Amino acid sequence: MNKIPDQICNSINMGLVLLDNEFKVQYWNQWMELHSGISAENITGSVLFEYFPNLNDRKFLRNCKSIFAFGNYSFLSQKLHHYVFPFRPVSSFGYQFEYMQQSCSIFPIRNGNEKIKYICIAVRDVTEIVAYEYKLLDATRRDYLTGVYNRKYLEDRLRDEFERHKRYGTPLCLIIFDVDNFKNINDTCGHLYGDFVLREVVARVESGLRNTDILARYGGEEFCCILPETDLKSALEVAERFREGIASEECKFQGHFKKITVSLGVARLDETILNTDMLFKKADDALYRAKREGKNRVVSAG
Amino acid sequence: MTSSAGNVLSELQIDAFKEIINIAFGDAAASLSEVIELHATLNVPEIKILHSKELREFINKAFGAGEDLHIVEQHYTSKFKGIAYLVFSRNSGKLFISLLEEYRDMPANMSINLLEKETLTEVGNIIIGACISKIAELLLDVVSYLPPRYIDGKYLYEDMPGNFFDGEGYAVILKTIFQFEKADITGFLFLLINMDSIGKIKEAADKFIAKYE
Repeated sequence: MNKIPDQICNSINMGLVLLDNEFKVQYWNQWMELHSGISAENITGSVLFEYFPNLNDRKFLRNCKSIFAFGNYSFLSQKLHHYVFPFRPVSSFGYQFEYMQQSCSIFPIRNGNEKIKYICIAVRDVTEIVAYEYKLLDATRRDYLTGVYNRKYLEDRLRDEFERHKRYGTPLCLIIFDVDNFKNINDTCGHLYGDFVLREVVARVESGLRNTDILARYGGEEFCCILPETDLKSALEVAERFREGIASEECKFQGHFKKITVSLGVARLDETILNTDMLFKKADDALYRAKREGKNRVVSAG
Repeated sequence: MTSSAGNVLSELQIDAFKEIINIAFGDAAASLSEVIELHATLNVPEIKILHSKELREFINKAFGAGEDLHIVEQHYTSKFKGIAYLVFSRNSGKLFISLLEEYRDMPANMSINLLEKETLTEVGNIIIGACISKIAELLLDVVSYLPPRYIDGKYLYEDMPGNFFDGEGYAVILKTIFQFEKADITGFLFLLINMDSIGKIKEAADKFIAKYE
């Protein structure tokens, strides 16, 4: 490489790697040195996978093979791969990610006879963009008052979990619960107290959830919780914990003291349920049975 | 083929071009099988030449309401330039991703929708690249590509690039069906070749014919 292209390649804010058809590194720019901690001198001539065994996988290989075979360009999206080279994040948003989020393109480098001699991997750090994207996404998924997920996100995730259940047969349960006599609470203590109750209900429930559980405000004073990989017995135990946690202490706010209770319906996804609406209906029917049977209780849809 | 086609390429040139594409796609299928490790078959392509104003209607007919489709779009440029559309029905898309064993490695926090969309875009890029590069090889050409773009069939009509269909040009349309082993997966590949490239196609067809004269 002559001087000017070399300066450009080393000054550009992007990783550049050149590989031959045996995946031996032929070029490693300064950006790659900086983020990998591996000098060009050391890695040049070595097979890339000796340093990055994670890349010896079929997805990366099929993209590289296709470039040697067809001379096309490959684009490894951050959304699918998150990263290609496992580098520490450097941006101020990096704390959210274990590795720098990367978007990579790979393209052929030909010699004079138009034969493909190398492939070039261009690596772009998109951590900051992804962090903003996550923030925006999160804002569209959250209920403004309570901070839990909103109904749209709940429905999307339930469809996903339903698909997963169909494919892998993993158990899945849904809890629907509703604050008892909420209209009366609003009418007697005011809407500010009503809002406080909703936030308090969430706070008392949320602490007992796993990372994989999805709690959402379905609307008004009604909440839903998707419990992936959970059988009915465990889901009933979770629902009972919700009920106890909420009823255990009065809700105190701006001079109002009230014992708040919730009624809960629990349904399990089984082969008789053909879509997510049926699962909702089953849990909702159980919730209304809980209401009819005196409130402040858990009812199983069976 | 529309009546206008005769003004652009002779019947013989069209047959020769079809043969070139056929050879190219045969090669593409063989190499593709190695790259994605699934046996692929590409059917004999159907070739049409349409006025650019007829394109929208043709695509409307080919894609129907579009609702149930995954589409990968990619612009390419070389001696011939244009747009490739790779089209799968939702069910075929799912089956194809299963064959590639992508669901198996799916991270727990990734939505199935996103996995399907991104995987079809990435592998679609390889399939499109295979077909176009093999045509380019026969034309002694080298192709450049823009990143592929996923189009949800629901938004097909809003998402179609307007400028491609404007003006007084023609477009050569190649439509082929491809299949993958072990499962009944069918996809369509449409290559819209801008008529600016017709001179190159004529040249290639004439050279091909000359070999047999």
